[in-house]
Amino acid sequence: MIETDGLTKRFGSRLAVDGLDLSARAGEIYGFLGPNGAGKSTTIRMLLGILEPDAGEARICGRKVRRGDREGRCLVGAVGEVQHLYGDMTCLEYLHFFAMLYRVARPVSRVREMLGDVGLADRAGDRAVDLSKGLQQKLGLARALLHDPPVLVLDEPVSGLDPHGIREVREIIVRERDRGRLVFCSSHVLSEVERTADRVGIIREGKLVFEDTIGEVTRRYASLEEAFVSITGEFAEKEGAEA
Amino acid sequence: MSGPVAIPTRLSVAGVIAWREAKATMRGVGGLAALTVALIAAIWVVLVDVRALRASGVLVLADPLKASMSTAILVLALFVAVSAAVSAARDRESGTLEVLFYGPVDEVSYILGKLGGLLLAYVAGLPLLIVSFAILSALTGFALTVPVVLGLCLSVIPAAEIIGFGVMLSVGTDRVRTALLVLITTIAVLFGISIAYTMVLLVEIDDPSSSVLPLRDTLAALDAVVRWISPFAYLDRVVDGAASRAWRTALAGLAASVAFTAAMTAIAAWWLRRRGVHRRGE
Repeated sequence: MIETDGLTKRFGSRLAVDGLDLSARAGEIYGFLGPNGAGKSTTIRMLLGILEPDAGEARICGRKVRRGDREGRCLVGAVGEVQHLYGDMTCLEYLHFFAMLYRVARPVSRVREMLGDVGLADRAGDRAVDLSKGLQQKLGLARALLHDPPVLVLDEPVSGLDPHGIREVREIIVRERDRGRLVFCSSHVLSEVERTADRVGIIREGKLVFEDTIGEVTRRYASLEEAFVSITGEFAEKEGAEA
Repeated sequence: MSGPVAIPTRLSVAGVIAWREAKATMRGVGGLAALTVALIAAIWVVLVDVRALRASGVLVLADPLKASMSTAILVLALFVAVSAAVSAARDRESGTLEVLFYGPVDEVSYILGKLGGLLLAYVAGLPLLIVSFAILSALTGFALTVPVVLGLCLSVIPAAEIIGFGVMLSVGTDRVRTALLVLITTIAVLFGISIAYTMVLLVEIDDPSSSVLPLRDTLAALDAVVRWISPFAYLDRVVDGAASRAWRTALAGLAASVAFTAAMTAIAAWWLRRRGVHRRGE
């Protein structure tokens, strides 16, 4: 579903992503982890076709990701940490606008269906920017799922949410995985990733330094947090020794 | 997971963005305010002529509403230029540009959408202007001639290049405030050169060694350049050409406007691709 092959991105002299090779499959939640500045968001932007890699390539559903590839972008639904909503639109208008962009069949009924799916049916007429952060996140998920994509890419989906918001977003993510979608999710909330992800990949300084199933991680380490600290710390020590 | 029934085309995407942009522009108070200012300015120009008529008893004008119509068009054009200049910068500043690009939007469809939407908003203002001028004509007895109305209708083409110019400036900026500043400075420089040249022409020069001469020559050269590069110069040529029945001038202005619009659209799309959808440093 998602494959990257030597994916590389450089900003000036800084190597943000360094020959990244990873693969994530349909029907799984892939937790994409790493410390701040490790290259997670850059990788996600390359997967979404917003940034052009300097070397290597990414493929989604076997299709090479290219900038401006409208057909390719229809294979993915993406949600960022902040939803960046239009101040003048209600939830209904917002989703309808994106339904029209994606040329979704029967957009009005699809929008109603998606609002119901994420539990926002009773907020359809409310201005999107007036919703709480948790509800805005759910609206973002509804937008990303409108065109029924096989791949869902989430960048910090539960960051800044209260426990209720986290639970509601988690339920949607798990449900979409169970529907057969690949959910590729970057997060700093390790307890949540441990709870929901099937596999995790840890990136540091642009390199994939660890990848395994969550079962294997918890078998080898006390928790995902322990694994994360140990792996990223170990890697930093190695780097220091080499230097 | 069926995905969308039809893969969005560049035109379908541009159409959706255009409709959204047009609605947002027309819903806002800015559009209404621009129309009001345009009409007030037009009425003021008519009143100047009415006063002249009262004072002398004679007023010889082929098209007495031509100047006021040109003024109203210029105000509307300035409004769409400002709207265009803030459009992409506002999307980038608020982050909505990135969200659009998660979907089937690419640089060309985005720029075409912005252009189309603002042009639609401009076109929507024209019937109101025509009706208002018809009323003004009935009240003053000044004839509203077909060439003047034609000039108003043809102004849509140079309005497109003014919008294209504004959008082009907008994609290069991160913030609405910066975009506005860039537009105002650009307009001030373009109009400033023309006004300075007109003023220096009024200076009587008897001495061939006068220091005004080199200044006049420099301004003449700059003014010639401005006539080529300023989008507002094409608007003037088309509207004035049509209203004055100078069809060749109007047609040349229209052709240049179309070429200018295409060039601005291409530059804006290229620039957006180079700049990306994020603010600098993000």
